[in-house]
Amino acid sequence: MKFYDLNVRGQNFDNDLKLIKEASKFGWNHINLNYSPDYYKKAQDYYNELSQEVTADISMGINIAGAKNQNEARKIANKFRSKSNYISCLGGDLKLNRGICENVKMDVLSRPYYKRHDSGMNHVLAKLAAKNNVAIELCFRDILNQHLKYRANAIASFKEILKFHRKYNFPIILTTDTKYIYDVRTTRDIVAVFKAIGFTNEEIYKGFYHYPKEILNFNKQRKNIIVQGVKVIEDASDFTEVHKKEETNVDFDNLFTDDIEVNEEDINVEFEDINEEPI
Amino acid sequence: MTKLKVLPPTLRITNHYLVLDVKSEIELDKDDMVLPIWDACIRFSGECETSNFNLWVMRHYFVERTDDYIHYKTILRCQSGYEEKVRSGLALITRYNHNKIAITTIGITGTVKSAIEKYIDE
Repeated sequence: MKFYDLNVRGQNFDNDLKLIKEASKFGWNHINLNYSPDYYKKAQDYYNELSQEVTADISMGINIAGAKNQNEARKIANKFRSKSNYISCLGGDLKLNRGICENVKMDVLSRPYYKRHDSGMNHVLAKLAAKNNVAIELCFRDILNQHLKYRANAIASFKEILKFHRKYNFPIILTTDTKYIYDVRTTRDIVAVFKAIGFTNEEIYKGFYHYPKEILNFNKQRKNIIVQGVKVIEDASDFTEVHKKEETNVDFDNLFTDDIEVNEEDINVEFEDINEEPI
Repeated sequence: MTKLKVLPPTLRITNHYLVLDVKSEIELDKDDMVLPIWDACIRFSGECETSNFNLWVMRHYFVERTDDYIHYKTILRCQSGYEEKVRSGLALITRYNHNKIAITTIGITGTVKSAIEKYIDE
């Protein structure tokens, strides 16, 4: 299993390099840097230089954070769709959440619970997200940087969205939204937090690997899709190349178990005679 | 004060050792590590659950000082079977005494010796 982090907040070359190096040291395999639409073009200029300096795979995407309404978000998505492999939009407002879920050109609805007391999702939005293949993003940062009541609210929102995901089967992605070097955690730590919240191994596997990979792969061939359900397969000689082998043999029970080596010779603990009668 | 008799091996709690990667704005010694670790575990898991963890800071090493943070590595004892709960609690620390701190678990071992060999003397 590989770990994809689709939301690392890109700022400038030096900071991005620092974050990627630290993240790849802690086990992240693919890092997607998110920029504002205004900064995206500038960021792409140093993409090659950045990818040469790090070992992890990197990609760049757009996060629409300041959209006032759904029309504005839609215009930005249409403008950047051919230029970027990843477009997400920050949710929070109910109308905006709905607009994003209805838009097939959007990849991700990021944090629908943002600045809300509830999760920002309901059964209607869940059905729309499943129909239009819009993934819902849950950020680890929302748990990390909030405390007490607010952290509890964020966790409650996660649980509610997870409940909808189990019923309506829309894609769900788990991200860290790392901004500073202090936000970087190992993959296993973040898995442990999501497990503690109530995610199963399969949901964590899909949230960190399956759905992110699907989103990036789907967007690479988006230009070949003529209408929904029909696509041009490039360089295919016959129909056997249509069917790709899927990774079906994943042992979810032992996916995140540790192999702890305990050498009995190392344990040199002196203890008194256990058969001695107590006084 | 007289010491208690050492328990027979079958009655002893088995422990595992977490190797922590600590980044901090300020200098931290071994005693300073105790409070944030306990605070984080009690906040996330609650008092009743934390009573099972059997936490103890075994070793604390200074690694390097960079422009952004001071880097330490710490070996923390916890009861076997509760490693996931401890590491999830520790991952959620962000501040200690109004200063930035980040703790993440980089490894779990069965003994202190193997923790030092694997993660400290690398």
